[in-house]
Amino acid sequence: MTRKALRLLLWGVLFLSAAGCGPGTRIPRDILRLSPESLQDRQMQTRRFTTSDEASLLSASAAVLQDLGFQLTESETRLGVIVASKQRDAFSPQQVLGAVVMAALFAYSSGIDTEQHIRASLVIHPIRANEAEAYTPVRLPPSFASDLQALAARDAPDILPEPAIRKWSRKTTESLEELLNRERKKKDQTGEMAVRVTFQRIIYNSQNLISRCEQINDPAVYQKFFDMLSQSVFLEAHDL
Amino acid sequence: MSAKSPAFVPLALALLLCSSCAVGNNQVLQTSESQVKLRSFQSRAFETTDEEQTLRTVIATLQDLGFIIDKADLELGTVSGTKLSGYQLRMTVSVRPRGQSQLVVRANAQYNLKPVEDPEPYQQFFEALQKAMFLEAQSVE
Repeated sequence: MTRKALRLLLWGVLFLSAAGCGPGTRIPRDILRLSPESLQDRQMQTRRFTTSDEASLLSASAAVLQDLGFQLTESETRLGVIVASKQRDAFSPQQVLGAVVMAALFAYSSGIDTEQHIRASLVIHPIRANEAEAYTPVRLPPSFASDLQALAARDAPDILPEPAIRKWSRKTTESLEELLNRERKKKDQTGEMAVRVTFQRIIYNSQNLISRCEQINDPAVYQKFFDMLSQSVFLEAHDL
Repeated sequence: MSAKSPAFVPLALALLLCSSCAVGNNQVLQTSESQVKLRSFQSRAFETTDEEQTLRTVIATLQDLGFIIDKADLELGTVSGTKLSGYQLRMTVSVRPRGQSQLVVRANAQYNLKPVEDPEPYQQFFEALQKAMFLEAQSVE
């Protein structure tokens, strides 16, 4: 009898250890497909600002994140990216009551949420006049200024006027392609910037396990953020 | 207890499995799919040389897919992001020049503790990206 019980116990250990070895969850099929809600999310998370000064808008955004108690963890100004995070209490009285009731009735300890890690990423991009315009870049061995001039005149006369080419041909460090890209961007600019912010959070419980991880989808949160940003932009512009 | 005891078999198996649970270093350099195959469905080429614009479009696409950006580096040409939705999906995308006229965009993703090694999610990612790029994503051999 005891031997049978022992064998049962060992098989139990076997199954448990097999289950614990790797996450058994399957990867959902549509994990990287654009969802129908993506457009709605974009609208909730994005606002347009009438300015062509990306740097000032970025520093105003950083200031708002600081106002909200975030620590900046990462930034790449040349791509208009700021990443920030903060750790806060996740204590909720209702949940504590629930946990106490569970423990009293079923002797089951469910763990209560104690800590939340909130993360935000903020990205700015200039809105281009014609974001749909695809182009093939000019390919060339940079030999003579006159050749380049002819090429540019043929491929992009509206983007590169004569004086710009003459000025450029004196500088040799930049390729014609880079020049074209730069000039195209200048021409494309609408004088408007889009700011998109996204918040996510991970909630840990008293057993230090992740109890929830999610994107924050409350439109009021985003609205409040952008109200603060509008004010911050105003303050920066007026240097108060 | 003799070695012939019927309890020996499950005991040995349990010990064997437990020992395989110990955290070794073999995961560091682990690849399960053939590397060439993996790289080919994680990569696409685009007819453009504008790295900055491409990275910005990658960032916008990741945001549309519900990611927040964790890290971006223009010099290195990389962007990393995380999506939280009951699971954790992490993704790194790199952009590198290829020849005179193209850029290669490569993505790799991790779902919780697992690498994503199916072609399908990457195909979905590049479908979304090429729409935002207004350029066709070409497969890379």
